Amino acid sequence: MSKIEFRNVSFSYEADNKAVNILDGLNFKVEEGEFACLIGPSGCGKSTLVSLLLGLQFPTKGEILINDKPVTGPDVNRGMVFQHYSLFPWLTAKKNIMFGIKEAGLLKSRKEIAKRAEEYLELVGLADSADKYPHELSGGMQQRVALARAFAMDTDILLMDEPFGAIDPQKRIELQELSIELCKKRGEKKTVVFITHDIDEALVLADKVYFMEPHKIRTEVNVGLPADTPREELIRLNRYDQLRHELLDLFTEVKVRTA
Amino acid sequence: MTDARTLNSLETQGSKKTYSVGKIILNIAIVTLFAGTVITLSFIKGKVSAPKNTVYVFIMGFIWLYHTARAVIKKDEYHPDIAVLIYSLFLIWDINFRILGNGNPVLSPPMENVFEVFLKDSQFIAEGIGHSLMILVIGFSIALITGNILGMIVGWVKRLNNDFTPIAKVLSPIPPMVYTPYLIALMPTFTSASIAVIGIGMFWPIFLGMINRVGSINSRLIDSAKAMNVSTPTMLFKVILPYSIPSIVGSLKIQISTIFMILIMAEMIGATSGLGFFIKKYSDYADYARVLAGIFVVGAVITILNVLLDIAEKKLIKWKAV
Ligand SMILES: Nc1ncnc2c1ncn2[C@@H]1O[C@H](COP(=O)(O)OP(=O)(O)OP(=O)(O)O)[C@@H](O)[C@H]1O
Ligand SMILES: [Mg+2]
Repeated sequence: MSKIEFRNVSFSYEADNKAVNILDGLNFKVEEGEFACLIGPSGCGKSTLVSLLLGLQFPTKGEILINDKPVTGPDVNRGMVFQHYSLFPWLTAKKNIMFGIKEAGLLKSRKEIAKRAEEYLELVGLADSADKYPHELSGGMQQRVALARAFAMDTDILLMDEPFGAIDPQKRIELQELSIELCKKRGEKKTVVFITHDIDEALVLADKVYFMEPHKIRTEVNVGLPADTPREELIRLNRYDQLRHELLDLFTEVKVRTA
Repeated sequence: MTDARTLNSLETQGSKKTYSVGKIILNIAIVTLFAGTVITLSFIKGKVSAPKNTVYVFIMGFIWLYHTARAVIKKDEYHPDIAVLIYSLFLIWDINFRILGNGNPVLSPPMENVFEVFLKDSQFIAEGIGHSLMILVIGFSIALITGNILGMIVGWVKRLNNDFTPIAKVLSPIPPMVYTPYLIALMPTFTSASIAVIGIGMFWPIFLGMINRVGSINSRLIDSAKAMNVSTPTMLFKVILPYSIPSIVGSLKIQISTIFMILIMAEMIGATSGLGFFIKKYSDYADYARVLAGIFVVGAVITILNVLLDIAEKKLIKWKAV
């Protein structure tokens, strides 16, 4: 049994009384504990796929199974970091994270919840901004708070939609390391679906890379790079280069075909 | 020449803003000149009798104090225009109606007499304010709580929204004036009737406003909350409600004037106390000095409530939409 399974999923948006097909007979499986990266050209339906997986929208055809049960709506076993900033503007950074921890039902006492929120703010390097409101934080900082919130909720499935898009390269590497640490090394391995446009990011993070073209998954690539290898060594491996070229070729190919 | 200019334009230490001391003095001089003229004139005996001018002098003095203080605090940003306008109106009124005796002294009583009412009838007025405010606070609280909570639920639950919005759209435009006499007849006391009038009159706009707010809330925030699997009560009271607070408080300021309109009108129809009753009673006796005094009090009460709301808004709402 797979942790996540899309069976022949189709999805369309209603626009001017016409159904616009976004996903069409899409099949996709993620195993328990797998870190899956989803890459593909802009507008091919990656965010749509994740929102179906989250249970915010429902397929027009086919079904989505999580732990072999159809998705009927959001659930405490799934956490999400949205592509856009999604903090509550009336709560401070810390209170935003506390809200998530409370909803995840992890802890009961307010003190413990606050302590956990502080820990995760510290992890994303924002301990100083605990009492700031989202409008007082930069876009990248807000995204880091959203990340801290998702991590602090400690769900077994984590969905991340271009979480590091607005973050500077230096910080981005730190957050990638943090994601590896929290998703793969600490406690139970999490099942992750991670969307990115950045091939290097996908290769560093993923166990498997799924390449998406409009309407469906085109192919999947087993990364199989040695675990626990420091980043600097990893990117110098022949296998890394080879995978990189493979994915770049896919990008050019899909672009040409859809142009 | 140059000396005078350097003296006039001092630079405040540590800041780049320059302001001219001369201009501040000029502003104060203008305000003082007008205030002095108005006060001095009030002591001159005119054709219409005004036995006492104590409160009048006090209020004119208060306006002077307020504007002088503003001139000093606001420096270059202060303009004496409003003070000049206010004093000019009093000046024209005083010279024309009291000193020269033009016009009908019943319809255009001297302001000295109008303001003296505040002192003479102070207890009556204070009770009136107390009574009117009590009705207002109770009626408005009922409308605020029920309107916002029901609006939130109806706005959020699609089925209820489809059922109730058309009904609300038919019922809400009925002016409270229409059912006021009926409610006064129906309810056991006048106080309960005015609370009901305000409660019903304000319920509709608050209810519809909340339904609209829920409909137009940023869908990203809703998705973000849904992604955390929040329960419906959490969605309503921890997400939609806090998100709506600034706009609820914002519309409160407009609603305050509407409520006063409804209340004063209700009091004019059937009350035995309150500000509306005060104004109505003396209108019937053609005691227009008291009527004008009552109108000034209503204006002052609304202004004070608005200022308090502004302060509360600044203190309570620290966040901004991203
Ligand atoms: N609410 C909507 N109504 C109608 N069409 C939509 C809606 N949301 C997205 N779409 C369309 O669906 C398609 C897929 O959108 P989606 O956001 O899933 O793309 P994406 O792969 O995440 O792109 P990006 O990499 O730019 O984020 C796009 O063509 C978009 O125009
Ligand atoms: Mg997207």
